Amino acid sequence: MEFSHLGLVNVALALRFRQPGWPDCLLSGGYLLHAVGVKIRLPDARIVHPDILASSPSRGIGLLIEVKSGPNLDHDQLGRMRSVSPTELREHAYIQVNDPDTFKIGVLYLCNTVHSDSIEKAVDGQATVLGFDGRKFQLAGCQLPDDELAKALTNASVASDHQPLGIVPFDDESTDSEVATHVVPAVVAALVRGEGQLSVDGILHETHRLCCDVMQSTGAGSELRGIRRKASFVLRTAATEDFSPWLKQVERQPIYRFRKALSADRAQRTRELKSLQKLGRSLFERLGGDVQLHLALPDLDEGDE
Amino acid sequence: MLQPIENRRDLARHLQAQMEASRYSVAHELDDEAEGKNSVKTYLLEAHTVEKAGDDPVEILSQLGKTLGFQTAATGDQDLVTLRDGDHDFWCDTSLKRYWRLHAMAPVKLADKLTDRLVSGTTRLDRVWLAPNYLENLSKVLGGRLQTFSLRHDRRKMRADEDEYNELDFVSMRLWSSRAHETLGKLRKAAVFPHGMSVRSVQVRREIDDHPSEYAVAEFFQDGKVTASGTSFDLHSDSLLLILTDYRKVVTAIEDRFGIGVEPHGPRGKGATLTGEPFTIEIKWTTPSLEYTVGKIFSSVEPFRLWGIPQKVGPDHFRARAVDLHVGAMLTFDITPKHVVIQLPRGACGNTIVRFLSALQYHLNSDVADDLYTSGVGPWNSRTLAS
Repeated sequence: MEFSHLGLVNVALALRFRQPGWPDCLLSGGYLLHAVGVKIRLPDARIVHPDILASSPSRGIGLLIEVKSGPNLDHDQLGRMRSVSPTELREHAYIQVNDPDTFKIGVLYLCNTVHSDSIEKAVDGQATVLGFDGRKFQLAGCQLPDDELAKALTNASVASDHQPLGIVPFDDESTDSEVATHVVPAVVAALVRGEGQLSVDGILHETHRLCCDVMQSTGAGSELRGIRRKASFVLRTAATEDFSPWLKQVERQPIYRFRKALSADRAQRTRELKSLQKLGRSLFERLGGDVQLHLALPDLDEGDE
Repeated sequence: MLQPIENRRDLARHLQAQMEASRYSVAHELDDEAEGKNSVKTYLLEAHTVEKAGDDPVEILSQLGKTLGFQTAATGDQDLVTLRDGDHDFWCDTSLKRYWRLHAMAPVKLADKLTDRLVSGTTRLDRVWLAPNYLENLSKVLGGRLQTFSLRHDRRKMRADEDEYNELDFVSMRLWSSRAHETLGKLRKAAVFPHGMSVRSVQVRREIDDHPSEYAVAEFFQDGKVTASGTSFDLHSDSLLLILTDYRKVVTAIEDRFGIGVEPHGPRGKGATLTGEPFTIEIKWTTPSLEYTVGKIFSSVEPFRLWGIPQKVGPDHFRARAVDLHVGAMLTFDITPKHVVIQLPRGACGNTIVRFLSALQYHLNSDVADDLYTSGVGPWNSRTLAS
């Protein structure tokens, strides 16, 4: 099984949470997740941009995790990550480093197992490579600074057909249809709460509520900008097409107003909500999604309202 | 002539008189229609924004009154609000902040209807959902005697009509017995209704030690309704307090442990770290088609009242970003043949999880999360994952 960049990010994040059928190697190692897709500006104008920054204060280890869905690698990025010191992580990434002299930093490339060999060659012993095939993890490259974590990863296995949780729901490489899968419920949630208008940032805060704060830049930029662009496009399309009876963009502003509220009458409200489900499905299809993946929802039974 | 009710003490006296007046009618209430007809009714409600966003209960009720057409009036007690709907008065005791007790003497159908309008008229109010096994053990929790119980379990709406289905489809029964607790135990042991022992209500008699003439007979329903008669409002009030204390513990434990989100971390608190964990429910599905059942769960209607467009992300794995229509919150559900995994955002209302569990327990499998109250949430979830 091969994963996209987003899929692999969620694979790494899933190791930090308890989930049936998934190993929790990072959680059991006391690892904390600090940043996802956030750039860290270091002295000398160096910028490192790991996909995930994690640390285990109890083990005194920091991990810069870079996700590679393909076989290629940015050597400059590798060099910059290798140059990061514990003190710099403490001062510029704001993570807890109790003793900079003993604190160890590892650079870990997570990739699809089919690309492990080429990534291993490219890192040339300067980083650890972790291949994943949907069931097992395979370590290569230089040794991880955390022996226990290395052992746990080598022994870990994922139960058949188990997908990682979607902690990060979509990224700037996601298809428009995938983005709509998350944006549309956020629009409906605002409607249910009786909000008169919504903003792109508000929607993003809702779709990425679990991880939004760890994706926020502290000044050097983050992937959130690209994700915002994606959400903005989908929202605009929704307002001009399928959701136009409900949603209208305020001219030249990233703000949308609801044209009407949900009915106070319970039966009518249920019919409106069912209609919004149909609109959502048609929007996914318009944006090129495979509508077969979305379940056809049962029709209303008598007395369902 | 009715004295004006200016505070909770006045209310207690007033409700006690009604409890005493109604005690002779209880024995005749043998059918659902008559449940609590003349008794004092108390509805346990949850108002999560009172603690989370500092909302004012009086303001919430006053706004609802304008929308739903009832009047509200403050009393001399800031935690007690009077509601007048037509000819009937209701009193909302908000002294526990997040958990409200709405008392009524109105006919049960009218009182049920107003409560239904209240919780469906705003995203800021929900019911307190008592689990079947909690109700089953409630007489022990309260130190009283179980007098009667009712069961209600209905899977019919969770499967397609054309499905061939030979399992238990629905149960509805009410039993009066001098040994109700034993009877309930025997029914469970004999597995007469496999995964369908959804206790809908229990009637418990409590007495004050050495003063058997001081008593309260109350029927507690799974949706937080309580009907009471007897000679001691204090005992009734004490029961409500014990239940709400247990309930608060469960909801708070869910929010504290399972809310996923970011906490400050690192030097000067300038860093951040992702905390919390997904809430995992182990379940044996009782319907023939998981796909159909998942579609029903997210179809916006009762009992789940979740809006979503579920996706198939694996051969037997469905994922839905869903809107909880009670509170307007968005959650992610991962559903497989053995589990439901819910990502509850930090700060979201834990009552959503309890309500979801309740819908599972009364419409799919009564044994789901059967140790939610006894385990304090934590060990239950770990055990589930370890298995």
